[in-house]
Amino acid sequence: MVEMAEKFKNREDQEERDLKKYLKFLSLKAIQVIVQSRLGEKIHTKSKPNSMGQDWFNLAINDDPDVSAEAKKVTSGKLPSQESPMCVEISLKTSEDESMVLETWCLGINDRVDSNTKVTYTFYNRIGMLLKSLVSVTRVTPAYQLSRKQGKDFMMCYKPQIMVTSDHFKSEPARVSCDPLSGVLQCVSGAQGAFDLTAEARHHIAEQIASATETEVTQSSTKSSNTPPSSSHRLSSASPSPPFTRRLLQEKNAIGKQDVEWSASSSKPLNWKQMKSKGAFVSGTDTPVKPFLPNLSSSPPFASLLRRKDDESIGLPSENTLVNSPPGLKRKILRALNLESPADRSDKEMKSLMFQTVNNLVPEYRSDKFASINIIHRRPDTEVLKKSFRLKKSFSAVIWNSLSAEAKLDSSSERTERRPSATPAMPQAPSQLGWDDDFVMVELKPAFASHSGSSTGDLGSFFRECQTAPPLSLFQDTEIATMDNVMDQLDGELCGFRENASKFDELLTDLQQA
Amino acid sequence: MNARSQVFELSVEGRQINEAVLSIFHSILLHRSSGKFSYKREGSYTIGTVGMADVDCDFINLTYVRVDSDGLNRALKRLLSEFKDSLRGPEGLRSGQISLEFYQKKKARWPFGMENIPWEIWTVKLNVVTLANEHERQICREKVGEAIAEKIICIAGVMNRPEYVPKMPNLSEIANIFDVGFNDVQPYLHKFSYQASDEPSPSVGNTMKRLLLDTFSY
Repeated sequence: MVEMAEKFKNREDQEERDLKKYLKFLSLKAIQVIVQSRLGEKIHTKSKPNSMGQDWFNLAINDDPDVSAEAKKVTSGKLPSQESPMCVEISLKTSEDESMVLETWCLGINDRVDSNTKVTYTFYNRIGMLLKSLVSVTRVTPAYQLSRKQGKDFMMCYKPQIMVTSDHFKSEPARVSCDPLSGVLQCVSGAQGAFDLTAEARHHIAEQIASATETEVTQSSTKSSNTPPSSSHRLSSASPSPPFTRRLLQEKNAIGKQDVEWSASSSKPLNWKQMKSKGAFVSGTDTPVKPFLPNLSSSPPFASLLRRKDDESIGLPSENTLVNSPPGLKRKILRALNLESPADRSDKEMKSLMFQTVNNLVPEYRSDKFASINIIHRRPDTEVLKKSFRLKKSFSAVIWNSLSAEAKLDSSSERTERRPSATPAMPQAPSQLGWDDDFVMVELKPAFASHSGSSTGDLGSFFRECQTAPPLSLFQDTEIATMDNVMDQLDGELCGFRENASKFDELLTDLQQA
Repeated sequence: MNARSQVFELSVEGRQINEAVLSIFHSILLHRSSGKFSYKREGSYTIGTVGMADVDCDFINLTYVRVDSDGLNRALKRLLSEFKDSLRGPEGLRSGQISLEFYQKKKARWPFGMENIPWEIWTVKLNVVTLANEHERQICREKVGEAIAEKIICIAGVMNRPEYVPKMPNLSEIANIFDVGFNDVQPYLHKFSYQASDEPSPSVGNTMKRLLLDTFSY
């Protein structure tokens, strides 16, 4: 009996050791995946049918020695835990030493326990799956597109760290980043509990710049931009040393090892407790449901793109409100990015697009981000911001979707079923791609309205009719009078006169005789 | 057993069809592929390594990750060209849908042999749109990229849910679970099916009729 207990204890110890080892390598590999994805290069690793278990988690993720060294230094034997997640902050730094945080990836452990899971096998496989997801998702965030365009003008920096949730963070709820753009990849372990990777990819390019606008004045008056952030702006109060950062570009030139200045606006403290959503990429069951506005649009594809509206009609600020020009940071970064933009898109069209984007955001998001949009659309060279904001919108949408109920995660299939116009033969409404019309019909099911005919009821059909009201017949017959048309008409009339010339002559003689 | 089903809908231009479907299916197959199994003896095996490659799209603002396997990549490309051919109609490309179905083989009751039991089905419904000018094309390029990015995040979510996947097999049963035809990786057994939007779906009546006709033709 004693032997059995000892055996069991030994097995548990072995499992715990294995678990710690796996966690350690997961942390290191996750840092490698995130940082390498921001190197600005395409990555290609070879599949090996006979690797004999040399690669961790059966994945070919090459280790960059510099990144490994820094990751090891930062983690220094510490493992991400429930209280102290491991984070990798990706920031952008211009050639003029201005920087802003683009995204933060966090890796932590939650407290869910699955006692049925064997550590050694299932956990190992799930970590592999988690890393595959991480590899996939790191390529589709806006920061990836930016990183591929880095060069002389700007570069990407990273900063791995083990965060400590201290009282400092708890005492500043106002600074908590309650960003809906978070998801957690779940990987359930046996003894220790569940394992989360929070892809708290804060795609804040637009609003960071907007907030930089607001803080630039105070920044210049209160402190130099090169000074490390004050304690209230540090990401971790437990890290007294200046934040370590480095270039991701492989060639190491003079500025390669410079510390990144952390602008007050960009280094928002992260609150792990808040960020720890129930499911990373996986939805939590008890998360409040944030339904989408139904995408009901009766307009033909791309109609919204072609519409031109005046500023006033879409509620955008007039030109005299554009006096507060964006800060140097924004201009420089935009100039540096030099991103390709839709060739001949007019400013008004962009405003219209942006408005639609804002209009379709979830309510909380819409209210406080509208100010930043106003700033964004002022300048003609703000394509990148618009672009990233639109991307951000789509990400917020999908994450909201995943944060809603479990059933909701089967979003695509469910939405498909609900859509009345799901027949593939019909050209799909642009709303399904995100081209939402500014006329959004919400299915209200109003009282007294009949629902028998269509899903939207009488009120819905009334609105549709109003929107697609036929043009007045008065204007239908007006043809454009071109020179050719006029000449044709004149020709016809002259021929007619010539044919009837004898009749006119007879009429004249009759009249004269009379 | 009920198969899980996921449906994605996309509106794309004709030239984006290949990349749109490839990006989604490759992301799925990345999660549903493992390294090659090398059995030492029954019950003991080692697993190879899965390599990954970033792929930039030409007609969509998107980079996706695929498994580094020439065979798998070729198979997908061949399928996509067949799918695109099937969409060609008298008035240009039609809309349609394509599915990726993961299944496992199980012994059925006598007198039937092995039967394929699907456990996960991914469907991409494509609405092919025609764009008037370069300006619209440029916007479409961005929007489709955003839409697919959403789908990829959704795929990551689904893959990390603790849901049914076939158990790791013994050596004798490996071909019932995995596609062992590739020499570098080992995806779960899967098959593709596609259909243009205005083609009639094979109904039970039609299938029965065809079965009977086939029987009598002998």
